[in-house]
Amino acid sequence: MTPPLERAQWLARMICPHEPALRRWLGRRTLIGLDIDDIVQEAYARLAVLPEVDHIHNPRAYFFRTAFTILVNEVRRAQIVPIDAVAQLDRLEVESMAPTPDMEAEGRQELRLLAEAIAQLPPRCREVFIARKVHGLSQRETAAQLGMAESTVEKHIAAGLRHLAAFLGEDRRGTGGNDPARTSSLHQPETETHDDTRNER
Amino acid sequence: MTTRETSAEIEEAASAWAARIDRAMLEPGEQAALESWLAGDMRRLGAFARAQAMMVRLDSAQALGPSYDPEDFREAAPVPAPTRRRFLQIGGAVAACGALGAGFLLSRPAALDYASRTGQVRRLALADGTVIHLNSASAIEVRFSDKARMVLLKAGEALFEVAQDTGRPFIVMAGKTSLRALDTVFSVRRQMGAAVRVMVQKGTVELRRGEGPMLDLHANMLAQVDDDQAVPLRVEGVDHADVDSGLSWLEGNLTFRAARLDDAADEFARYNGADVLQIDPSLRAHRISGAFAAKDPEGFARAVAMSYGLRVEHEGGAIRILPLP
Repeated sequence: MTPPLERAQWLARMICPHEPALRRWLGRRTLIGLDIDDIVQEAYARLAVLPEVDHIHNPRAYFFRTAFTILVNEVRRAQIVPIDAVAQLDRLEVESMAPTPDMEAEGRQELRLLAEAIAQLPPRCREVFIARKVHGLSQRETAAQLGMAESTVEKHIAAGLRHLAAFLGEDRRGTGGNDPARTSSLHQPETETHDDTRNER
Repeated sequence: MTTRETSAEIEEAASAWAARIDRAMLEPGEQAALESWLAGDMRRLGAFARAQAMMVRLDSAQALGPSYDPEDFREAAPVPAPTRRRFLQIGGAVAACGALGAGFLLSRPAALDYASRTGQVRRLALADGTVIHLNSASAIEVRFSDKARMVLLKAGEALFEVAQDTGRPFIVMAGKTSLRALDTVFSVRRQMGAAVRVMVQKGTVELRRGEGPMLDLHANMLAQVDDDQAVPLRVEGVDHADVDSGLSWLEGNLTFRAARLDDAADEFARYNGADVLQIDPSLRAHRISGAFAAKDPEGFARAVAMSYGLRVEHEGGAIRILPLP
């Protein structure tokens, strides 16, 4: 089954913004043989197939708990019990329930974050995304405006999605808490270099 | 046993599907292919849901507006240096019309428009290292040339953290008021029917109304300038706290020091739309102090009601503050 559009909207608003924090939490654990990307993908899958999401009052905590369940299953399945994981399992609840980043501030930062994410795309890809998402053209209109084949536009969209997911999903706030350092860390001169390496992990 | 598909491979395929769907509706055959691909591994469904969520999330980028320029967001270290954009702008202009003479073109740079929506506070990093913060519902036009850095404040309020560039003065125009600054931090506010307010936080600003005399404004000074020459300039010293509360919008707050309730309501209207707070006529002159979240008029109303023994009513989208019956 393909998830309905409303679910994509819910994921975009309520879940995606917490992905960096979740990755940070997962990344602090050294789990032999466990791939963070696997866990994140599966967590999204579980949220996508939920029949209802109305009952979820704290999406961030739900996202963390879902990932935690997957983690525990994986640990069990792989029959490895990393000491670090066990020792810190009880901290999960505490961390995911900790004062979530001020949603208001997040909202204000979201647009800037998107602006920066688009800005760091490779040049052609960036033109395509600006036409498609900032100017609101369809892929066909984008192709006409940029003088590209429609299939080329589609390829740029696919490639750009991966760049953007890497940029927006990555922990860009250092190890600190919910501090505003994210904005400043974005000012580091790291533009195009990390893009292509992300997907090779 | 086959090798387990990597999450990166899955993500690649999922992004391709999301891009395909973004182009046009799937043909029945493609739909079936997608369904069967998704059914192969739980992670595929997750990666696909994530890619689609990313597409949806990017729809908000439309709010960046047609003047969105990625170069403004690619800035790295806060080192003022001529950016590629400026270089290209000048280079491109010269190349395009070489015969007309470069000097002519260099003095007529392209204007860049920036605006913020109601409730939005925007931070713009300009090519020269200057940072401009746009308060809610504000608009500016930026014209940089090799001679001067001009910014036109068309509406609203902006804070300018001006980067030093001795060769090119930084000039802000608000109505008939011009402000010339160098290595300075100051804010300018321009609203319909009100005097232009200039507050200097650091450094010095040269203020001039029309062809009038030049006036130096130093740190912790507030000037109110009416476009009408007949209205005298008002300049007063303010303390640190006043400057800080005047700039609390940078953090999304509104800070009042003994402000009239109707003035406070006007401030909330700037962030939340007109008439979000309605104050009973008998209460307008009440004074309120404190810091409030700019986007939480409800919280403000409750705080006011509590401290004055008033009541809060809701009607449509508006919040009304009334005396107790």
